[in-house]
Amino acid sequence: MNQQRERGSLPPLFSGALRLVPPPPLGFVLTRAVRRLAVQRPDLFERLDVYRHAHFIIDPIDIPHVFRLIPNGEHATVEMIARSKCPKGTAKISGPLVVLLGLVDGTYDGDAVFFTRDLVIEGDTDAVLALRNTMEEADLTPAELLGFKGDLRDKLDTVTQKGLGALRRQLNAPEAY
Amino acid sequence: MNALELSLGPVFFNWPNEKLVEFYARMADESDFDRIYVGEVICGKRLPFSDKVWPEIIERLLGAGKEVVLSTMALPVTTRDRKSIAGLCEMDLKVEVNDINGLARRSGQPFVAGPFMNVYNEGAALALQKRGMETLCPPVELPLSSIEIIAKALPELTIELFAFGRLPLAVSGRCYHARAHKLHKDSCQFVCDQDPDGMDVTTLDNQQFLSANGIQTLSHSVQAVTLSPDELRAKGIGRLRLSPHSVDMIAVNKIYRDLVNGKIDGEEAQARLSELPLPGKLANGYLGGKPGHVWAAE
Amino acid sequence: MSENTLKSTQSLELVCPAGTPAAMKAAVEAGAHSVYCGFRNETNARNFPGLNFSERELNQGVKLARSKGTKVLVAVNTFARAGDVSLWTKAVDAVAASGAHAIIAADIAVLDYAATHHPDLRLHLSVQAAAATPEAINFYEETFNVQRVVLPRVMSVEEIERLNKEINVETEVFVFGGLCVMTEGRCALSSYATGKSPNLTGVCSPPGDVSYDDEGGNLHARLGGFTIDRFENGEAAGYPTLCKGRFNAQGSTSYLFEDPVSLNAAALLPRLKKAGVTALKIEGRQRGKAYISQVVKAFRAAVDALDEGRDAQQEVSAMLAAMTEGGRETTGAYKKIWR
Repeated sequence: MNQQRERGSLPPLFSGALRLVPPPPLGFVLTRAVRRLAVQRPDLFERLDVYRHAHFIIDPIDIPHVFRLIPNGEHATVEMIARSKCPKGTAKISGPLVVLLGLVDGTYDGDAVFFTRDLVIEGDTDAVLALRNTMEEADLTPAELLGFKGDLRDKLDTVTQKGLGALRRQLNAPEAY
Repeated sequence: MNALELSLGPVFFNWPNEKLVEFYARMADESDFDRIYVGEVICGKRLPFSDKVWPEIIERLLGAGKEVVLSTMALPVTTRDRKSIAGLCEMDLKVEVNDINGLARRSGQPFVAGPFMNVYNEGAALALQKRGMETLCPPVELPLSSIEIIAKALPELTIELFAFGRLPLAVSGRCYHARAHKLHKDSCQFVCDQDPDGMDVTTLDNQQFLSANGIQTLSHSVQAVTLSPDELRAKGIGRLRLSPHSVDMIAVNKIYRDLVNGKIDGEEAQARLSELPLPGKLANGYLGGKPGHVWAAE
Repeated sequence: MSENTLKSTQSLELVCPAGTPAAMKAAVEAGAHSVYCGFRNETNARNFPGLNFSERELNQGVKLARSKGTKVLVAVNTFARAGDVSLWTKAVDAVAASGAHAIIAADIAVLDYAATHHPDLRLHLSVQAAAATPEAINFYEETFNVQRVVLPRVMSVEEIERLNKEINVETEVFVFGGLCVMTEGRCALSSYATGKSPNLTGVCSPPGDVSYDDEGGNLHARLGGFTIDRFENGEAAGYPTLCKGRFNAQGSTSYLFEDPVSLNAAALLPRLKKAGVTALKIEGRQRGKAYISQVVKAFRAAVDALDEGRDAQQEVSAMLAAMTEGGRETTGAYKKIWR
């Protein structure tokens, strides 16, 4: 399995450097982003139904932290937690960071990377399916999720798209869908 | 309160004519079924063969005082299939309809809706009752809680519960016997006659799972309803249907007669059934809305 | 001119899946003539978490589709649960109120309610009703005024052609996507393993009952505890849909019921048109926007080419090549050899 997981992973040196980034700010930024989304798109959280209370553990296997997402609308939280303290969630989604980001912006089809085992799902599959279908409906770009608007959003998206594309090639990540 | 009746369902498998004749002769002489269903329901290709012996079998059963019901095909496709249903629906006997095709032919006259018909609720049951349905054998996956609601809503309707035998789970346009023998359906050589109770289908871990019978897929396990007559009546059940297998069906008949007469309890019925050389383990999960393969203590 | 020749001169209608409003938008933009969808509850046969429409989303969807000239067909195509039939009849009311073009139903209780309470609402008979003979189809037409029947995926093109000569209603056939090998609406395999099935709960081989277990380097895909398939290390895994698994029978291991292939009848469109088929259905309400968009574009190109008398087969198969599961395809029962 390990060998499978390595496809698209960040090099160890980079992973190590990330360890130095203090965890709280990113969690804080993401929490704010999800709560903002809850105000703008309440339909998405309605779509999640009971799974808005689920604890999703998002595990980018090539960085030293995991994320715990509880997408409970305006009370949503995203925490960044050291992997050594990884809590048990309703479901866990693990994969290289670029693959996980590719799922957010639609670069990858969830089914496809799951069947090639670039993505590993544990726990309640129904919860993961609900999240995946909701993301599909949300149609978010990373900049949009972070609350950027208009021209700035488009520019940032172009930059991240190019950046991630280059990164995927560099890391030998699975081909885009 | 009326006594619970017992019926013998149609034979799903490709039994040779001699075996069919012999089997039904024994049922005529030795069984105490209140009703016996006869006819080919699975494969139209078997019709030209068994058609030769059905009149003789029906006469034998009627002569022994049995109520005979003609079962019709579950998945008619060819002209031959359709003609067979039309012919049976015109006969002066009760008919079991297993596809809307038969309903169209039989509408207005009394009929039995077999387990292949999709009657899942009181609304559908009422619509069919208006068109002549007098007995409903509900789909095997329907839980007792739903059956009870249908029974309460339609007190005139007799509910016949699929109570014994491998569960009829699916039908297909494709023949799995032919496929497993690497044959084409059109030149199948009738290989399904090699498996009088269906062909075992096991998982990659060698767990018993399903059984195939031509275009039909059945459970590997054997459904066994062993509720007490009081419990059955409380759920609105009027008759239990036992599905024919190679095992001694007279023995099965006796166990169920003892059960519905209150002579033995469910546990003893289960124990006595287990002593027979059944084609699979006992199951009853569907009754409680659980997976069909499990045995749930009642 | 017979009914049949009349049918075959008309352009084929492309009916496309919409699991979410975003997918509906994608299908409409990609050139769907019609889209089909369902409510987010047990009333439709793709009752997966996070999928489908609320009443509000349906109303908005119908508006959007109409503005582009696309019809919306709403599937209320499961079998109502005894004692809870009102959930289904309310869904029928909601479809009628939304202004959708038609409702797709299978349960006699639902058909009866729609025909009685909403006689102006167009009724399509779902594939879940498994109506394959003229007698059955004519019964549904006469009894409930059904105007179109979605044919079970067990019929050959020749059989469809013969059938069309004996019925008055339109026929719709599946041309692309997942392939049910059992007759739809007549299959309880899923509930036998898990307690949940298309007819009971609107799901088949539900994800909540699936487990992937790593055993000695092999990945076992299980459904309700039964091993449906096994994958070696490095081999791409598949979803354990019960009828597409590997089993042992007659002393050998094989995909007994169906190989893990998906249906692609793109090459058969001219023959299906000649057989008097009115509409072509693409399966996949559980698929993402990107998939929907590509498949719809390809089939729209094929249908347009057919109207113009062009042969677009190569171009269309190139467009579809990437979209089939594991790249393997079948024309299914449309060619008799499948059986």
